[in-house]
Amino acid sequence: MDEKTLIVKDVIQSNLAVSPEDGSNVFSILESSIKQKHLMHVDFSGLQTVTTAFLNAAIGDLYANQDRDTLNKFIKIDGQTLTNLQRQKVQLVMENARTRLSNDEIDEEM
Amino acid sequence: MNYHIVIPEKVDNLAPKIANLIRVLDIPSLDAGDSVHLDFSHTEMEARVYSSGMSDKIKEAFSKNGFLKSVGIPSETTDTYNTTIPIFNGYSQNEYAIKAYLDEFVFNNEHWPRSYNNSLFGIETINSAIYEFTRNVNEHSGSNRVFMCGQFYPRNNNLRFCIVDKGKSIPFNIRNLLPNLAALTDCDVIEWATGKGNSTKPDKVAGGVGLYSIKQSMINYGEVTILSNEGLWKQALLGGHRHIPLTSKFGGTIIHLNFFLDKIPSYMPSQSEDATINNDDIFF
Repeated sequence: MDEKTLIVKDVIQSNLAVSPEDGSNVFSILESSIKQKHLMHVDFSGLQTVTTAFLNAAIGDLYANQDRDTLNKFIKIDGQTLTNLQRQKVQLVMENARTRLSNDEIDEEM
Repeated sequence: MNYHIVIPEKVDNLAPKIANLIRVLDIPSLDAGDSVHLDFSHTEMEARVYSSGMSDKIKEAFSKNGFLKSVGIPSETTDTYNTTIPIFNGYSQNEYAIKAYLDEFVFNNEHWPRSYNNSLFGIETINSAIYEFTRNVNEHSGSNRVFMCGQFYPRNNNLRFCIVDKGKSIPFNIRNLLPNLAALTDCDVIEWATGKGNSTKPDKVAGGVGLYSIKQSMINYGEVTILSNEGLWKQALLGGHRHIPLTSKFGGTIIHLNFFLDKIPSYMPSQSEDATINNDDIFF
């Protein structure tokens, strides 16, 4: 499997990862990578601030279109490139996206 | 008869001129069915703001941070101790303007702890809370304008910071989008909005952690107060919540952050100190 690295700071050309628009740009690259079945390493180094609005658009929305196994197979977030606060936010967004999606699936089944 | 009167671009001292115009038109002589259309679409309106009843203390604070001047009230008060963070009036989505403002007036203020210069943790903690709120304003209030100001309190080692929007209030917005919450008080609606995963967005759209993330990140580092419509919600330093119903309405939202600078570590806590459990294989 081909492996690539997405450096978030380079994609958004800023050390402020705060807007959902920038998050959507990251999302598009990740989604495209999954379709091409490449393993993408996501590098958050050099970011001064990361908001949940950015992360929802960049990562959270992936859970609406991809199952967990697919995400685990093709996307690896380099935890060492995140500060403690950023890491907590990434985990929060991922947990929340999974919960919200499963709520939706339950609603659909009912 | 239809009258269409275009008001000029520049009109000083508007009220007496309009009164004179009405007199010249001799409105009483108009016949039934006549219409008079005063067209102000080309006119620059000059608003005048007057203040009254302001205590000296409030007047001094509003003068120091530039608020009075920004609304056209002359004021001259020097900030002798350089503790005031002046008014920011700009777009909530303009992160570069907000960054420049915070860098200049907060992180380069003489009262910003020098011990933080070797670490980004203090800056990140404060930036994070402020950007989360300004993005929240942009996404939910229907207004893209945000006002901010603050003050250092060197004796107590506090930084107090305020973020205001004049868009839709949190209770109004949530009740409008989620009628099942209509029976909640304004304080309870704000409490709901700060809950984990609570969002007005459809389930298939990721959201609902912005306010939750801020309140969690402020525990042990400061206090958060959210005032919106007729509700005031406050989170204390250790995370306890207090609800205060208000007797008057504020049609927007005021966020007050009180950072206890001596409680925010000057170093970046290491990953090993992270007590949260990584429960997803996506990390490596």
